[in-house]
Amino acid sequence: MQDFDYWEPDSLAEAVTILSALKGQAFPLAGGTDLLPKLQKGQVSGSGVVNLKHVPELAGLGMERTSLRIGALTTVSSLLANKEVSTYFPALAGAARALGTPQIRNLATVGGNLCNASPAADLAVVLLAYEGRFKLAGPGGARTLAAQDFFIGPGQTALTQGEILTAVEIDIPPLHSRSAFLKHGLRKSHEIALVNAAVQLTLESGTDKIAATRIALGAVAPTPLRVRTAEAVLVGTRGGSAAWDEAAEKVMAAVAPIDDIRSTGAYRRHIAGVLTRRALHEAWGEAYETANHA
Amino acid sequence: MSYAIVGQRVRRVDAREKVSGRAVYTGDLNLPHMLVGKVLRSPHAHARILSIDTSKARSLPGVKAVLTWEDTPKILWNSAGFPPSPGAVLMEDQYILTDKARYVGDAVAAVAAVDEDTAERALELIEVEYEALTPAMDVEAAMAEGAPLIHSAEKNVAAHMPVVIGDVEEGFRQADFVFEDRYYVPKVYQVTMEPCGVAVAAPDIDGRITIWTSTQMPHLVRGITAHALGLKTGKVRIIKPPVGGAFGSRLGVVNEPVAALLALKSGYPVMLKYTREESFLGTESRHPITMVLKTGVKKDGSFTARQMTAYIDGGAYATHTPSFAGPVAGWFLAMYKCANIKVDNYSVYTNSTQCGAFRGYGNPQVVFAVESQVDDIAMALGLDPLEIRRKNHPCEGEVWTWSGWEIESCGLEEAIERGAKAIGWDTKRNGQAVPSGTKKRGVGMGYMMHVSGARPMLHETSAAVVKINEDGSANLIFSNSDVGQGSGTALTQVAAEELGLAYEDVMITKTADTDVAGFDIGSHASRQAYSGGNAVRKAAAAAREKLLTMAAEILQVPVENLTVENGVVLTREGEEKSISVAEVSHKAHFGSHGHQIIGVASEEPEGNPPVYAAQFAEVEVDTETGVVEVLKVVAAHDVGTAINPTLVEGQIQGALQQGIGYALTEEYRYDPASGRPLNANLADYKILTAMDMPEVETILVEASCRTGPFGAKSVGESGLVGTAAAIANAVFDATGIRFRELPITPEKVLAALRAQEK
Repeated sequence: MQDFDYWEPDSLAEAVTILSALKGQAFPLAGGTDLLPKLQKGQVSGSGVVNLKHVPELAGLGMERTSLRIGALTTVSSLLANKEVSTYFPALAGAARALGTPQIRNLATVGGNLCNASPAADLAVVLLAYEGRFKLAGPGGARTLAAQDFFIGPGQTALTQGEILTAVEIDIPPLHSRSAFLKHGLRKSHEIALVNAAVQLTLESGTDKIAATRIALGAVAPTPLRVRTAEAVLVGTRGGSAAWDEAAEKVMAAVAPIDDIRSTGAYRRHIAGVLTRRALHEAWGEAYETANHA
Repeated sequence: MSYAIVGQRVRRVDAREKVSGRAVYTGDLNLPHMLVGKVLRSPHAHARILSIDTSKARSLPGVKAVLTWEDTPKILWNSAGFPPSPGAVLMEDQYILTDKARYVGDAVAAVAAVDEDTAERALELIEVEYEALTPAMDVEAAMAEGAPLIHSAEKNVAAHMPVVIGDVEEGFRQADFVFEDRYYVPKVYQVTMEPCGVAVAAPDIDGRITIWTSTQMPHLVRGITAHALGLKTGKVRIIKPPVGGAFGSRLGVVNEPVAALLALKSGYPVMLKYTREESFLGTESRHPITMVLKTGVKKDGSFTARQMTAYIDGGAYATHTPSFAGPVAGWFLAMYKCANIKVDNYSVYTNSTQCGAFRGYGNPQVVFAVESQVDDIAMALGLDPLEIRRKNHPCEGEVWTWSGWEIESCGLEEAIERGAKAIGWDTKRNGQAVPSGTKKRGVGMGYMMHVSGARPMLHETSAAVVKINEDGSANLIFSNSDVGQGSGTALTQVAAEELGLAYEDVMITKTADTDVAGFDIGSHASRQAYSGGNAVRKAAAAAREKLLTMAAEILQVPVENLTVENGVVLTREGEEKSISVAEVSHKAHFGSHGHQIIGVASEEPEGNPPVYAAQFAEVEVDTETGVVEVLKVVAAHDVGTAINPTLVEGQIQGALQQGIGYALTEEYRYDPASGRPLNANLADYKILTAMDMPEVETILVEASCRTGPFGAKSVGESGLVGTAAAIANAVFDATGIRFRELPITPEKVLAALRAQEK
């Protein structure tokens, strides 16, 4: 374990002040499931750790009018246990269930999963599909970023020096919407996604016509990827195999996966198409039910 | 035959300490003034070491010892844990710290310091100048013309051992068909829950050294460690605390000599505990093998010639490999009857971590190839795969080619019959179970036989002492090499059964100590229940005989009229006389005799009865993703008498998890150019989780044998031997695609499905 200085702020203002003063030489700590192994292996270039666990502004998980506010310190386990999450955001519940292991889920936080900025992060791809609003606080004050603007590259976010992700807000989806999350790996638990996908379909009430859609994929590009070209081909259609295939084609054209130890890029591209089709198919079934029988 | 304690599902002797977290493992120990040891590992797969400068490391405060090859005894040794025996080919080609780097992870230097951080800093301060050499990462590269020599063996072939029965060329001429196929199985790790490589070495003032180590074989590790250090065997004492799984990874010396040398040089106790990554980098794995099988068959499915040419990738040091080639040949020879058999084995050095023992010891590799090809042969001849196996496997009373001895008992027929029924063989094969959409299902099977020890290849010595205490309880002193499989419990049951005592009244030495227990060659070759059990039973029988003799005197009845049940000596029939064991033993200790009743045995067992299994798998292949999902495994095993059915089932189920991983997900990979490992961690080396396990049905067939304790044979290794073959055959049944390389990954399946479409 490398030596490091340690801070434990108990307010957001103090946390921002400390992180700003340390000028990028310190690492925010939340769940620690990514940071601690890196510290143990001496893979962290900074010299300080700022423990955010006692910052009250980062806590909390609950509905605020028509949005769900997910405090950055929310653990993955508590997402899973939350009734609003499972009722309104089934893809988020699915991604939470697919992340890591029970032990990791008990420690890992939403903020940590997002700020770690892995292209394969299970929660990131879902929050992209739910069009999460990322709430940031820094020396220059508070600001809000759209999900797709938060991720810059592998391990890189739009956070500036001293800035902290405080929460993510997602709106309750429109009526007759259904979402789905799928993850592809070599095993069913304790797995980093080879590819993951989140979709949301919204139907016009009383019809089988798609009013809106969102499609996002992970582990197929330097950042989690929203594929608007694929979404566009579905709007106004009545879904079905041919439509899903067309969307999958667009996804396969849009992704830019790499070859690595876990998979070839070619296989990831293929799976991106398969997951897209399957996720759309899954979301469609339930969306159709609500649009026509609710 | 039914027994009072043998055959019962009694609670493990170590259940309470394990589930409560109270068990103290080697890595939990803390001795006064104990230092932390660390090993500096080569970053090169193949390199000359030009110079090592340790001066900065030595001058770091808190560092108590810095060692390199210069400081090691100039004694070559071999880490494999074998007793000196006819079948042990122990090429000595390593030092405690190396003078040439032969794989990424090779131990180049070692330090001992007051704490872990200081030890790690000291490693960083050691300056090594390497001259990188070209690595050879597989057998093809190593045997190629002009390949760099890893040791001095020509073409890097450490050993070449042909075995011939009859004349295969004549057999091929007699054949109606000849099948020739090439198979490859990868390097896989045991991945014990307690990472492999943990020892604490403490020198004492009398010139002896005590080593607590997580090992499968205290006595053999004592001998090898003493040899490597240049000490007399008796100067080393090995203590084996509870072990968190072994599966062969601790079959011999792991890091005991390094820990001991650090302790001797520093004068302090040293803890040397490998991280998970180090246990991948620096400890032994299963051998990758390329196997070419050539088989001649008649139209009726009988074999006229069987031939295997195997290229065994042994890694950077010989350790087990040249000896291991013997069983590899043995598994092949013994599976199917044939007048003409030939095995040609090449043991090859490569620049990967040396390979050693892993549950099955070559058998899973051979069975995957043989059982895949036998399925192909059955298919080509239009025979039921079950029928071709029934027709050709050797049966009870016939000669078992592995040992050259007669087969004592064989439950394979029953295993095949019950297993086939449980998996739904007749209703699910040949695409009969068709799910909707993009998925295909199939069922397949693989048969295996395995050993109950290593005779006659190795000496199978075990020793036991049974002493009856003055309260009627008994101690069983045994070099208890229970590494989690439950052998300590099974041996306690054997002793209690023979003694006629309650299970709870017999206490085994849970910790093995070479200063206390008699010589035992440890946990390997699935031998504990059979070989260990025989020694324990004889020691208990000797104690029982003395007990009954004394009871006969007290009760004034002939000794042959007495028996002992549940702690009471009683007459068999007729007159109703009895006396408790406690009373007899108390009189023995404190009456006119003045002695304790003690039974002792040290011996090799008479035989080595084979065990059998038929494993069946049902799989579902996702034709869009290439994912093979195992839906169900039926494992029907002939284990002889099951001393503790719960433990037997646990052994089979646990092994299946490794067998399914071998088939589908596990492979330790290197970059072929640089020789750097690519997945020396549990994120990328994919062992299966509980979530991945299919429904498992275990079927116990108890074909008892004459020479085993209460008819027991073995179970430790066999649970994974046939699994990969059963899965590969099920994938073939589902898709019509034959995979001859493991693991059967989604990418390989998808590519094959696409090729099939064309």
